Amino acid sequence: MTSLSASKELIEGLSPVEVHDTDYSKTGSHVDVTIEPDQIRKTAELLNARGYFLEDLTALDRIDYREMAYRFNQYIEPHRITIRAKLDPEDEVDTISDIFAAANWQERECHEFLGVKFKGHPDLRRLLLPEDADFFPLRKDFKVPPEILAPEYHQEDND
Amino acid sequence: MTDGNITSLETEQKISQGLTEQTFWLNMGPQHPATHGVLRVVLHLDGERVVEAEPVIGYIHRGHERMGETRGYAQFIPNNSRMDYLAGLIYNHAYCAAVEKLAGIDVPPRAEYIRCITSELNRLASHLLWLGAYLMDLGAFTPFLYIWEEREKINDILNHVTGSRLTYAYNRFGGVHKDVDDDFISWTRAYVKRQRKRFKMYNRLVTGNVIFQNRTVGVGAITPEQALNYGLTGPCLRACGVEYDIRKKEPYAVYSEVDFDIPTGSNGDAFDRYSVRLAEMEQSLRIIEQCLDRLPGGAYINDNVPQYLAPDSGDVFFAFESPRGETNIFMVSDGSRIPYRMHWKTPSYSNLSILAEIARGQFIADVVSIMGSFDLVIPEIDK
Repeated sequence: MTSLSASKELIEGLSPVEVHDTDYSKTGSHVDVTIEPDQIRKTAELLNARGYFLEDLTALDRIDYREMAYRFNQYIEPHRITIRAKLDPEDEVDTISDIFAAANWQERECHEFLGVKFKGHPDLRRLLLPEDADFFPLRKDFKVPPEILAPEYHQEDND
Repeated sequence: MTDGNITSLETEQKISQGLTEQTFWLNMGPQHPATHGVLRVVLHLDGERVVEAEPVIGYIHRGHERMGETRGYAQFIPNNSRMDYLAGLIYNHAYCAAVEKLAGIDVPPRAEYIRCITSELNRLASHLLWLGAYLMDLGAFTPFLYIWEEREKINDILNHVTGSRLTYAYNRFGGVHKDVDDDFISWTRAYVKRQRKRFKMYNRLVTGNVIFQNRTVGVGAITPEQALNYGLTGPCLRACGVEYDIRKKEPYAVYSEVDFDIPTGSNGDAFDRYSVRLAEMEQSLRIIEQCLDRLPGGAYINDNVPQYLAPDSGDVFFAFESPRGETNIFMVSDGSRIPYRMHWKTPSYSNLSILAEIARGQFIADVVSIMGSFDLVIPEIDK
């Protein structure tokens, strides 16, 4: 396990807005911090230099705003870092696809599902959806056709 | 071409007129036997050489993530085995483990052992299918038939205990839905014994074969730096010499209690990926044997799990080792009976994204060999 002091030093280097308490056995993350969206490139470069790889990248629709969630991890000694960033109403964030090639497709997917715009991404065409899709299916305001809902959850009251 | 000097008069005339040789585009797929699913690769070719290869995915996107956000936790269980149809039980196991982590549900030890045994059997079935299909991609039909025989044995065993042969829904929150019996145990032991003998035959039939060696050694080599950049996991990563296996690094279920090794390669080429998977199958047999020896009695499911789960608000990130690499589940609960957000990051996704870089400058026939060695499962990529 990466020592506690090393973790602390790393967190300071990430210049977080907020450091969340995290219990690895419950949440699966060793470090969980929220940063400003404009700090993501700096953060990715720092973690790249330290030998982390991009494990996962996605966004969450919190209705009022969108939140990015990045996971970085190491191959040698697992040390999962969760980076969160609360996006502004324009839903814009810098791309990290030139730092981690793994981000290229994941950012495309995040763009088509949640409408997050990645500034500087070389190719933001639709990846899994049809080329002409003009909707963002993982946004909470997307209307799911009732026929694909599971029967029990048709009613508003689930009790 | 009868003449040694093959520049024909016609070609010379064309060149003198200012017409040069051109590159061209070729669609491989979406319906192509070597893509094992609905994958399209747009190849930009210069003769037989690949200038650029662009995978086009999404042909069988079914929206699993959105489906997960419109139904209760238990109602999503049958979806798991439709994501990666070759490792349905492993996905099933992992989804239940992730929800158990989110909701704080205890699992009885017997259930954990049963999960490990069935998951490893499923891993063997997946690797066996890959082995047969890959060799068939390379033009060898005979091994396919021999290898299928073993896979059928696994399917019979799993059919006996889970009730299905491919799309399993065997795990439940807090355990498994049916206990294993003596038949299952004796059949599994017999299978392990038989499978060990068969590896010798596979090696004699395949590993030393000159054609197989020519098609795989040095083909599609990946360096550890490239692997890190693209976030590769699983056998594709281990073939580069990186020892990274979630079962060892972040053990779940009872993987921390059993003894096994992580096989690695050194060159990161198609042949190393083949060797790593073959060695991994032997490790799976070791895990199954140890789990069978230690299989404890007692309950196989936690009876106190409510029918409708409503975990407290929070999120959980769960990683597990599928036959193709590390799969991640990110689940967010807002305290209701329906997951607020469910995100899956699947290994073939990263493994395929490196194809564009690896295929550059290779022959078309080698692209088939490279793609086959990645062990792609398209429904898992398309979600």
